[in-house]
Amino acid sequence: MFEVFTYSSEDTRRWGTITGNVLRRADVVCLFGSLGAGKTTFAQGIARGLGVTANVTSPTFNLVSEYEGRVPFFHIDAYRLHNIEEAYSIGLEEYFYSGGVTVVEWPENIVSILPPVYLRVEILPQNGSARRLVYEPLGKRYEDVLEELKSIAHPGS
Amino acid sequence: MILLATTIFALETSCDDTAAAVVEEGYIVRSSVISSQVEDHQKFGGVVPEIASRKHLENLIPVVQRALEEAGTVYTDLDAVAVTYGPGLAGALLVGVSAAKAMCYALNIPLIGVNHLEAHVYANFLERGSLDLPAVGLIVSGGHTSIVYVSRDKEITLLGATRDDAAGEAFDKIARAMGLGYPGGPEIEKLSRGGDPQAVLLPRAWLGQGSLEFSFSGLKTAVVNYLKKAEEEGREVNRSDLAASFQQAVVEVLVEKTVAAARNLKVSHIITAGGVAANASLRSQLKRRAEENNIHVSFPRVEYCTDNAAMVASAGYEKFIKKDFASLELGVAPALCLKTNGVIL
Repeated sequence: MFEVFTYSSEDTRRWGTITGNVLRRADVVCLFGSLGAGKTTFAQGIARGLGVTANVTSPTFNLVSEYEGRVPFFHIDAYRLHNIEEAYSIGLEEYFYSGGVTVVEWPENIVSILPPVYLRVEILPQNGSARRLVYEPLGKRYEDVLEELKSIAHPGS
Repeated sequence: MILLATTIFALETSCDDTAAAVVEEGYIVRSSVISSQVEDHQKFGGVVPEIASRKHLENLIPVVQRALEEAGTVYTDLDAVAVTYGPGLAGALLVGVSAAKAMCYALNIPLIGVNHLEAHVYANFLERGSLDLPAVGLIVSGGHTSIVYVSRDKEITLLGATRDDAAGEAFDKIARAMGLGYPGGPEIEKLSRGGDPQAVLLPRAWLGQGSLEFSFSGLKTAVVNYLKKAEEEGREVNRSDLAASFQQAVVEVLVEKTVAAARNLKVSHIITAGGVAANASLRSQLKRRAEENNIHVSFPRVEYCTDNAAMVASAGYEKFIKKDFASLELGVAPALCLKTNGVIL
């Protein structure tokens, strides 16, 4: 586990960028958090960390947006999905295995097609625009990701 | 038989509606059939793509046949088939594009690929046949919020778009947070009537002087926070006031930025498009602010604001006269954008 407090949406986006910096091909990040918590803001930061220069907008309408960075970036939003057949029918699970970095918003709607290992990040609104980011690694790869993030957050410790 | 009239058949399946239309000369709407799936989606609180794709398949043939019947035409009267190939849901787009290709192959007529966003702008030409150009256009729907420049020769260029949520998406999400139905726009609009648009102080994202970009994500968060705080304090929310204040926050930014774009580009016409352009509050405020600046505003008829195929036919007609045809290899482009260059601000 690893926690970060952010104090503005720009700060949340900055932590997304720091996270994106240490991600590589085939990594999957699932973003949990209520409506307006800042999932898209954090995902915009990850995109920046992956070298995506295009404007990253909410994928709610299209379900999946694809971007080019130093690796491909797939931005999935399962907000409008309500059963797993819907996710299967549009081939959502294929994105996890397509050699890019995938970020999923509203992953709770597609739990059974999520890969067995991924980085779980929960965004918990605090007072005003402050947020608590709770990172939880599922699998060895993401424990390594957290170690890197910890060394950035607490250099020298 | 009118020998010179060009008859375009069009299909539109980019999101939740299966639509077909027959349009002559790019503006005479002979038929425009929309198999609205709003009822199916109502119970889910959003557009469900699996249902959308399956429904498109089920709806397609009946919708095509009805469009031809209502127009009093037969397949052999058609000069070309225009179809939306992006942006939108890949699976949904495929249904329309595949059907259009099959028709063109069977009838040996040209296929025309149309950008859904450009088609929205063309909704303004329907039933008018002409429009005062150049103009600034506001395209505002569930998936898009963009300001465009439409040149004298109908070239469409993007001036600014949303950085995060589309305006219609904000309406849908706030409607759901308030326990209202789908689509959220009409529900919020209904609830707003009688509400005080100044009652709840909500943020407007101007994004710096002269910016033509939008951001509705902070507004969405502010409304969610307001609801949460009221619940924690056990305070009753005046829902009409909240809906009216939210709507006002969205409308104000849309109106001010669109009018500012027209003033900066020194154009005296504004055109509107997309489902949110059916919002009465947006219409009245945009008209008032534009008139104060001697700018004329044109609104498509409400049935041409939301997704429809007549607008696709109109955009297709423009490409038809330029002989800008697609090959039968045309693929779908879920992330298709508008051109961004070429405008001197």
